[in-house]
Amino acid sequence: MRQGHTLTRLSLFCLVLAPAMGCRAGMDGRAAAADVGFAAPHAEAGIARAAAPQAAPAPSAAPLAAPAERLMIYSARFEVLVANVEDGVRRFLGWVEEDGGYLEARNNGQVTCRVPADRFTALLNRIQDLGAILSESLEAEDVTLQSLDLTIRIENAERSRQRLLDLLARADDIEATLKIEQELRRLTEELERMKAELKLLESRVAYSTVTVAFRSNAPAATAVRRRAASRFPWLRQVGIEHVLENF
Amino acid sequence: MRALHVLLLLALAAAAAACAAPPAPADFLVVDSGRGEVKAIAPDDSLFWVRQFKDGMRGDFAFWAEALEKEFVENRGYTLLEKRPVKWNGAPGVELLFEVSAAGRARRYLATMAVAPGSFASTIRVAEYVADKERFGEHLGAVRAALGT
Repeated sequence: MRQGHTLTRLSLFCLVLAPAMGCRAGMDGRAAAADVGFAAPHAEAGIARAAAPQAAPAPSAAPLAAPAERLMIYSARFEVLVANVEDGVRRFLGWVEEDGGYLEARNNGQVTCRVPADRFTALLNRIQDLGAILSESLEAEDVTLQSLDLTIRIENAERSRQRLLDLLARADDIEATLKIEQELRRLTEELERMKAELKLLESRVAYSTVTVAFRSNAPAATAVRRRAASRFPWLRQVGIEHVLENF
Repeated sequence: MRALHVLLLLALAAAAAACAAPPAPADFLVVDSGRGEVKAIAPDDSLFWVRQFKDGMRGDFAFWAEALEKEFVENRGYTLLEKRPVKWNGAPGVELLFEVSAAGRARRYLATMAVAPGSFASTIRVAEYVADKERFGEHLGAVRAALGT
């Protein structure tokens, strides 16, 4: 809903200012980004690996600058059959480290890592070297509009905050001062929240998520089954069951 | 007379060697030992146990090697991964590597067996090494070094 309001405000702003700006509003970065946002994303869920980003956008140097290109969050999940799960996990983590990524979570044979977005495709291409791929899925989420919306809301909030500061400087009665200060506090909190949200979004764009679930292809260990006790006494006293029970 | 003394000394040395506890792998802690036996455990819960059994029937090595393998594979359902002949304390022996699911976990089990013939009874020596499948390789070298196989 908030996004809708913001876009409506932006549209009205453009309509009003377009003639004055020689209809150039649609050519500036923000509008261009919004237009791109409505186009069909090139990396929709279920696409082939080749359609993954060749060089996804790096985190913006100036967090509050309007995004100049489409911002995508990529995540992939694989299920791989390997001879030895531990070896597979070690190899995979080695690649992640080489690529400047890090381990986010590990649960037995399942590992979730974050890698810089520009190393995402390269890492995916190496996963097939680990073993037979049983399943794979790739997801891409376009957050261009979300980022644009946040950026505009932050800019608006900062302008409002500046106006409140100006009013505060001119306020001459206590009641007005208190009201302005209260509003300033609320606005500052809102501003901080939105900035944190934007930062998180940028982090998710900058680092893609890769989850690999390792499965062992070693022959399933057979359960111990005893047909009958051996007729040789010493044979009845050896074996894994006996060792485990008598330590 | 001197020859008798030498023979006595040799017999005593042989008896002492038979009673001495075999060495445990380097990274294991001995929890029990004596009379040619040792029981040791590694920090990761891998287990090592050497024992000897007197065999009044005096079966030869080939007989007992076959009996051991059949017992584990056919009777208990262990999966045999590897089998190799070894020399253990100068006697012919066999090393059998199995994979077994025991106590809810995939484990590997190494059984080394050799038969030393004696005057009245043979001695069957058995060394057993049990570890989680993922950790088995970590101590295998030390186990073989301790056995001299």
